[in-house]
Amino acid sequence: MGRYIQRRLIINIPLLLIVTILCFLLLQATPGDPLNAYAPPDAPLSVEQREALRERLGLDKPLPQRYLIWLGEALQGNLGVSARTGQDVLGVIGGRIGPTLILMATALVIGVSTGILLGILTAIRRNSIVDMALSSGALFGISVPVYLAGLVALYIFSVRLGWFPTGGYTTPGNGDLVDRLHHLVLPALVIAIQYIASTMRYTRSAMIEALAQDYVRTAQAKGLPFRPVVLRHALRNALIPIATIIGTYIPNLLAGAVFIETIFTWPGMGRLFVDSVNARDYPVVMGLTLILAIIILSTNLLTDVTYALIDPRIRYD
Amino acid sequence: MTESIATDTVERRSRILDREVTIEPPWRIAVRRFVRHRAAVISLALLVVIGVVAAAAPLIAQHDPSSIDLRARNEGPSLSHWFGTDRTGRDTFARTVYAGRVSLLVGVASVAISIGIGALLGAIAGYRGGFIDSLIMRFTDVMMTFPAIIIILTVAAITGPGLWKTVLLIGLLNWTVPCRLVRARFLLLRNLEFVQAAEVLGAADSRIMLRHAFPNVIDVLIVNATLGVAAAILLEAGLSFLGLGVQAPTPSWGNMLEVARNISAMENDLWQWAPAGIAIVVCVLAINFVGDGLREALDPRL
Repeated sequence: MGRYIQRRLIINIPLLLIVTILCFLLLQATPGDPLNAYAPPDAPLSVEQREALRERLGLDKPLPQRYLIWLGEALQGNLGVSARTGQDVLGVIGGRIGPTLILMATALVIGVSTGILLGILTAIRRNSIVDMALSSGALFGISVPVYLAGLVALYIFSVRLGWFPTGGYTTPGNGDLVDRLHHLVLPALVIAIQYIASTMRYTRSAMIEALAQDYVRTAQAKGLPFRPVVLRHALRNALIPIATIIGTYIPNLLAGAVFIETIFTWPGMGRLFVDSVNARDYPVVMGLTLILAIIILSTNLLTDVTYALIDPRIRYD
Repeated sequence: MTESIATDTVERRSRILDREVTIEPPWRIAVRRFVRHRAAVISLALLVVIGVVAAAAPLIAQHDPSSIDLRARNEGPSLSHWFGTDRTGRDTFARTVYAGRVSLLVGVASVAISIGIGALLGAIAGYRGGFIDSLIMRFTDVMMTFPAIIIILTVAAITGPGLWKTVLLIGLLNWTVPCRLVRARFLLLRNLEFVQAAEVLGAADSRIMLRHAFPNVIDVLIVNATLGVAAAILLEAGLSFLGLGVQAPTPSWGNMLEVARNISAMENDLWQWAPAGIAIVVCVLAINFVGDGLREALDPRL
């Protein structure tokens, strides 16, 4: 087990390095002289002074050397300053991680728990009206893009019915728990739709497969009531593939956050991303890309490890 | 279902007995199976209608999609403007119809790019195997790890938005699934007799891959391409919705939705964004159903 985790870690390090190289190269490809980030073109500097500054900042060095300088700074937490506000990039992003995590976690919990419940229901009531209604509903849930679901939900439940606020994290001047939950429910539910639908589909087929196994028949034959057979014998085995599916949700959740945070004016990383792209705030864009890449790579690692832990049949050593 | 299979077998047996050895060509079997899938047939009809409307846009829309009429801004539906007008007085119906052209173009063009790249890399990986295979597959894994939208946003920040840039970006990011599919097929094909026979006869690798092996992956590619068009349309609409894809004045379903990012516009001018939203859902659902129908029609195991 330890060796397996070690090996996965070692595989992920070059991946992360490749991501940093790509980020650095993209940053270099941004229009304009990199010197402009430190001294605007209209600054009263002579050509000699500009060159001196360039040399002092290391911008005259060849590309590989500049990459190493940049990487060294990045490792120490210096990702530069925002071109818009002049604030430290890491600080700007750090303030946005919390709201995104709350939104993602809520959506994931709602999505997975509801999805598993509905999946069990449709599997044991296979081909019934309930199953058909829920299964076609799930197909629809997967087909409708998150931004459209968000717009429609916002229009119906916030604008027309007025049940929820039209966006934001809290009502200014009121930050208690009820108010926060009130703001959280609608965007979290909208993101959850997709995950309810796909978890339900996976659970349904995994459960149908598990229920057809010999050990389930044995359990039923020895007279166990239906409920423990479904929950203890079939579900526990069906959950193993579902655990990995949840791991693959994380990158998609982050992608969905880009849209939902924009629609619901949620102060998270997704909206910061869109705003920074629109404002051509390159240091923040690259900082976000780097941090998202780290989050995605670590969740992948975590998924692999969890999978090995929960399924005793899998031994990677 | 079982009944029709049974009669099929009886028919075939009687034909053989009558020494009338006509074997149904594969494409006709596929058509017969596709037609049985009712949702797919209806969806296909719907797609044909969408395609014709988009192609005949100038004949159907009475207005130019980008002609601005500042005296007729934010109007509701009327006889002259069926879906009303937008913030600059452009006809929403004309924009919805012309946007269909853009969406279908982005969908088909980007899928052509991604299928091309995916099929080529997958064929090389599967046929050659060894080091090249693991190199290509590791690269594919990395590409699959990161959600396309995040990469596209990062790159769009530098290149700026635009129709062809959007097509290119979507195409360059969605080749991983066709690559895996083609590789898996080529791994199997490599060991089949007819491929080995071609090899023994001295055919060049490129000829074997193109003439002998490739026809055997067309079925999976057709299904993947169909579903890929739907995914590409969704991605384009999402990007344009964020203001980073297709830019006005070119109409796109996504950039028509952009209006709804403003709460008061969302509330008061439903006609400006709802038609585009409905168009996206209908189009994508129809494409997905057709894809499902094709999958079932082309799968020899079913």
